[in-house]
Amino acid sequence: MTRVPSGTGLRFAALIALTVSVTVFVHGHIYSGGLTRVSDISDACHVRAELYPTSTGMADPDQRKWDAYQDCMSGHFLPGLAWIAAGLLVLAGLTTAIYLLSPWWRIRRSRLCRLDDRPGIAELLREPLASAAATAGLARLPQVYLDPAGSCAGGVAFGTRRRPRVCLDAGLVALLHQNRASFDAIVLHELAHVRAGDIPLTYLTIAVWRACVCVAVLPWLLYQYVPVMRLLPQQRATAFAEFDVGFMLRVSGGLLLLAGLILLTRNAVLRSREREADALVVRWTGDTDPYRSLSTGHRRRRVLRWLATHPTAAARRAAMADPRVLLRPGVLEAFATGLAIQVGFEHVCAAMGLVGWYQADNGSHDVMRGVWGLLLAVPVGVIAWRGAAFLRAGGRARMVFARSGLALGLGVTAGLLVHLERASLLPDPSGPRVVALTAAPVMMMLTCVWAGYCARLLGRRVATARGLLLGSSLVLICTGLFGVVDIGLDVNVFWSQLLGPWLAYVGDYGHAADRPVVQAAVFVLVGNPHPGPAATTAALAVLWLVPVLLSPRPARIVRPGLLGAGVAVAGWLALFPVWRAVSPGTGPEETLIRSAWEIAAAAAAQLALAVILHRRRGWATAALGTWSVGTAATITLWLAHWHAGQLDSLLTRRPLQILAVTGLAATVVALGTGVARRPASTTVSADRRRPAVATALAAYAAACVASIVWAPTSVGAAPIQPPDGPPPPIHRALALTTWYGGGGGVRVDGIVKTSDAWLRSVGSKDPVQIAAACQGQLRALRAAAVFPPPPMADVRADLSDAIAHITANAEWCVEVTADPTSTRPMPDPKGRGLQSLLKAQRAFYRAQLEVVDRQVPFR
Amino acid sequence: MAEATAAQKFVLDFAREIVAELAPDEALGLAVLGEGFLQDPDRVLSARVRSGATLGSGIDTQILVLSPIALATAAVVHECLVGEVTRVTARRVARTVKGLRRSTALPGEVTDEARTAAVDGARVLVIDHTGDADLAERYGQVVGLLLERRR
Repeated sequence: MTRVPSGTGLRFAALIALTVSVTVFVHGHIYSGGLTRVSDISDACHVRAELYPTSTGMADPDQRKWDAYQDCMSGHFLPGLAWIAAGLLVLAGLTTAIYLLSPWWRIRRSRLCRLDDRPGIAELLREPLASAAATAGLARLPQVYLDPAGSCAGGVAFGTRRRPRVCLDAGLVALLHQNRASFDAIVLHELAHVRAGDIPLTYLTIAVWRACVCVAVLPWLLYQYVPVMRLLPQQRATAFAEFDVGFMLRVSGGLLLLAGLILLTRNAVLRSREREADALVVRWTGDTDPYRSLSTGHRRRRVLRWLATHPTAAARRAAMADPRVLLRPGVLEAFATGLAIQVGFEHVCAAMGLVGWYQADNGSHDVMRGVWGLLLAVPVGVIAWRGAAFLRAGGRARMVFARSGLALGLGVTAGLLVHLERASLLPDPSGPRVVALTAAPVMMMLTCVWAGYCARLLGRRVATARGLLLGSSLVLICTGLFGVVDIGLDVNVFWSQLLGPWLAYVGDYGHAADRPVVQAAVFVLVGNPHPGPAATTAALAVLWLVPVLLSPRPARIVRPGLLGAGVAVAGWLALFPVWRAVSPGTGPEETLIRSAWEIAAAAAAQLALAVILHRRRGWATAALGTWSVGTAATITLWLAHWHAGQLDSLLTRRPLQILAVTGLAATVVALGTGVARRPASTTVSADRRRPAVATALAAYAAACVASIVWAPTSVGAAPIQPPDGPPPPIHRALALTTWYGGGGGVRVDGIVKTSDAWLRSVGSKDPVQIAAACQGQLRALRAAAVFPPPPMADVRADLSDAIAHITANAEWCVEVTADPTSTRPMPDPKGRGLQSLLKAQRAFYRAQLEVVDRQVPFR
Repeated sequence: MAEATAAQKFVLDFAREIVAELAPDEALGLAVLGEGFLQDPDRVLSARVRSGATLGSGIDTQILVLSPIALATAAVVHECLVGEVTRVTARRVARTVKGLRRSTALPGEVTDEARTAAVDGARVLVIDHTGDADLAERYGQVVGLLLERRR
């Protein structure tokens, strides 16, 4: 039997991952904007490739521009990676130093003295401490210190993994003779921390957090507010910093908010460790309230309870009275874990994007999607494991898995909104985005409920092949169903540029009654933004496969499921002649409409079957039944629409891609209709599994997924995708901001500064100074002339005009200062060049304001 | 800890006698707390409870209730007996205790004036520190009794 995880290690790991990701993000940005002669490497490469954001939000379809952009970015990968690695090394070094020095600092700051240096007291405490160490199962007593200024009955555990230490207050020493049982309980509490390995975990996390403040948080704030930190004098101030205080406050506030969340989470973890230590004391002493004669903590207001590192007295008593509550997965912990995972993931992706690795077509998105699925599967698994252990131990609580799952999903959603790349943007509560962001927590809740169900089927023996099966299934589900959760924020673009036009296009097919049916089929087919539909289908397959494989009596699920599916398919087949009669045409459009109706009928059959099977045999049977209907319908549709090696309808290419989703939806709807009369048992009884059945089911599921990967062609069928329109126009504000941040701003600033210097030199009437100023102006103008022009025609014309006129004046100035007898008149005496420059600058200024104030997502 | 000066030893001894009279249960704790008092009197006398230390027990029950005041009272008595200060408020105790590290003055003969000053000083200190008049009266009586024994 494997020990049930407390969840603390996981949360500590999440916190450390969060701090590491913040460091990666900050140093990625500092590299991108601070070590180059432009504000942003990515912007500079955009300018070089003439690749600018479009007004629709869709990527520029010109592949040559993307190739040029990636070619430009590839040169920054290794230097950027080295810079980030250096930041992480500093973080690691500082963490180690803080961790190792913190015991010394505590001893020095609190003037603690070693017990061994006080022979009289040591002799008195020898027996009680030895006895407590033996009770705690420690091979040897940690080094004991005394806090001579502590008048309370307190103690504290500190030190390192190799040298754990325990400190006792003077008041606790006095308690030895007053109340031996209470003295023992407090000493055992501290030894419980030693025994549970809390010391290295706790102090390492505190150390990494403090190091993160030094290595990431402070540099980020300095980088935002102190231009001198930009490392290079040519560096212009960070975009918008000069004129938008609100923007800067949001950027910095995001970081501070994140820091506060980390702190709250850290304290929540510390509170959970205290409860775990109390539970050990209860186990060792057999007393369910060992601190009864002592007060445990002040009464605090609710908010202060979240800030405290110790639980309230009531919470401690509740945990000691019923240690099973410690197994119950916590809602706040789940939320914090989801938040940490999402924020950390986004930061790493952003930093990798800044150094040029995280790009759309180099496979990095698939890699990171897999990483994300793995990261998310771990908390889902822990929630399931702990919740199952809680219920097995006789714990009673409503919606154990659902609450934690919902909290985890909400944490993921919140992480999408608060990570630093998005911190500058106010939430945009528009329709599709709200729907997408709401769907993610609900789906995560269902996933956790499913995982909890499977964990109960798994029983106590988790470290087995069956446990591995469940674990890998969770990774697959998290990757296949949630791997595109970050698209939720961009769902407006997805809707307006992809799904909406497709639905509008197929809305022209057939009669009014046909349109919603065709649109519904197309919606399900292309509404999943996951680039690998096979991954989604595989994830849906394991939803029924794993419970069947883990079930002690799989036949009780398989037999009624397949039987019910057979009946449902027979009913569906009976309607086939009806479709042919209603829609007798054989043209591409009629065929498409007919196939949409056929698929809709199969989905209706799935729904009816799901409701019946769920009520009679439970949801797992219903899920298998609906899936089987889907596969049978797929084969039938292929046969029915097969013509000369091809299919006559695009909708019948991959019907299972639609019917797997409708099957799941039907099962969820059935779950809402009531409780099953004979639910599948979640207790592990005598092993009556049949390997042959399991193998056959696994092969069946694999074949289904393969049918998504391989599908017949359908050349000549009625299209469901609208024809390509003209390339999307460039977004004016974003494009100008990109050009300005990608090096254009440095050039324009150069002209402004050298023109200013020239005007001042004219005031001095010193020919040498004037000549030097003119030559400097010429250099700045030549640098600006060879730089790629701005993307918008009007701004390009203004800047070009400015460069031409100011250059003419500068050349005249050089000539006149070299030859004072020259009588050549000044080419631009009215300053038209400077006026054009001012006009261009206004355009850049307005563009930046629009990006900042109207909350246009910059990337 | 460095060797205690004679003045510090007087304070510890006198505090021990007070605790033996008023709260014998705290005698063992006083042996440790006295050292802390001489090092950092502010922290010992502070009412602030440090129950939230990381991986601490979270127990904030004060066990040594009278000992900190006994130590402060002993410091006041010492000052009164050496005739340096006649009125020591709680705020000034810390400075007084720190002065003991360098003090070479030892209390001489307990005169009536010194005894009266010490008793009054003890009462004022306890009232100042706790606001409890009854407790102040008890401390005054004990200080008077102990000084009477020393005559």
